[in-house]
Amino acid sequence: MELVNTYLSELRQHLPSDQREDIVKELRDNLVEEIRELAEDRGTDPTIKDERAVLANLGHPIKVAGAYKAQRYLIGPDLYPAFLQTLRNTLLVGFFVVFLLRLAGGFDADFWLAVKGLLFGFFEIGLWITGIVGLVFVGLEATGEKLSWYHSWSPDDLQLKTSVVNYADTIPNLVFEGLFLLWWNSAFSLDWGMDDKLINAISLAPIWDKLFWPINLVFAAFVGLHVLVLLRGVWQRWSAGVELGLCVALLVLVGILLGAQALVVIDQSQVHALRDPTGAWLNRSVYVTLVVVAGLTVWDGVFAYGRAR
Amino acid sequence: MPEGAFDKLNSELRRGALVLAVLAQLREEHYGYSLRKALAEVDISVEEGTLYPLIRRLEKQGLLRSEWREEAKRKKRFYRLSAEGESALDVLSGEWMALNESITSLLTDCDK
Repeated sequence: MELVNTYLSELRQHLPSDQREDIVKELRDNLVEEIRELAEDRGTDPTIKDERAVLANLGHPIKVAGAYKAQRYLIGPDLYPAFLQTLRNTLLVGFFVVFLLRLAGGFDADFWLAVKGLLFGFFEIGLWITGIVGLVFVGLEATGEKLSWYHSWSPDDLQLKTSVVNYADTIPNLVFEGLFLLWWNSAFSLDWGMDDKLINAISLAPIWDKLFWPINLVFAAFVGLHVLVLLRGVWQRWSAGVELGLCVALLVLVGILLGAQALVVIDQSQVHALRDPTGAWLNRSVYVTLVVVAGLTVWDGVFAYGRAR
Repeated sequence: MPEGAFDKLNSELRRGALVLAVLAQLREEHYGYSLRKALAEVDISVEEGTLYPLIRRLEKQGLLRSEWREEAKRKKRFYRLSAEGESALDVLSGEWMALNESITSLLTDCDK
């Protein structure tokens, strides 16, 4: 019974130490009897083939040893849905924080490098969050601690999770965002009604180059979100949450721009006739515009916060 | 029905009844392998990897008692229902009969 002995010594390692000898002794007895019976039915002595047949039927030693232990999970079926929900929410928050940090730090001017950097940031934070949330839930499973929001749930916790879209507000927003995005990407230009000499002398400060892709991404996300919301006809908590997040991202961008020394640069050598205050006047106009944009964004953000709650 | 789904349903259905079958069979004394054969004779086939750990768990819960004894020149561990196991069997049998009646009634209604 060499194969049986090898099997049992493998199984032995995985058994609870206090029952190890007893289980191995009992299992050996049952297996030997079964193997002998197989051989007797054939009218021969037991062979290694009989051993193999019986052991194959019994299964992998780790599986069999596991059946002798109390059934335990790292994260059991009761906690698993709460784990998934928590993981999803914390990942979304983590991704958003990474996005904001990248915004504040300035994206790479090259689009693909910016995307690669962002994806790497998502991957890194994703690993950390998955590990930490996983460990917390393994701890909850092991200690039997209860989650109040999950285990002590009551129907009173249910809230109206949707609100109907206000088309008069959302459609103008979408139109403005779409037009801005097209203009920002030079799909069309606006006639400012200014002298050609002056227009040629005006250029944007370098800060705008740095924020070219972040502004594109935020406005593209606004357009995508508003199209989706209009198609569905309702705001849900998640879409309101995304709207709120985008408002915060836009405010961060506006904050970075307002903190810049200059937003518009005028080449005085090309416009000798202009008086010095022109540059200051133009800069002030752009600052005021940005403040108005910030105000509107705060307004939208407050509504989004209300829907998200 | 997806492939293997019936086997899974069937296995879940039988797993629930296995404890009752083992307790009922152990009103008579058996060791592991003889218990498996006795159950197989009434068309309840159980894998060794499931049955042997199960009887140890039932013993740990106090529903079975066991002793090592020699039979045919080999020492074997014999199991039998304990007093607590007999009470549990009575209760579970009652539950089984009631459940069987309800399911039979439902199945009969379906046939009509």
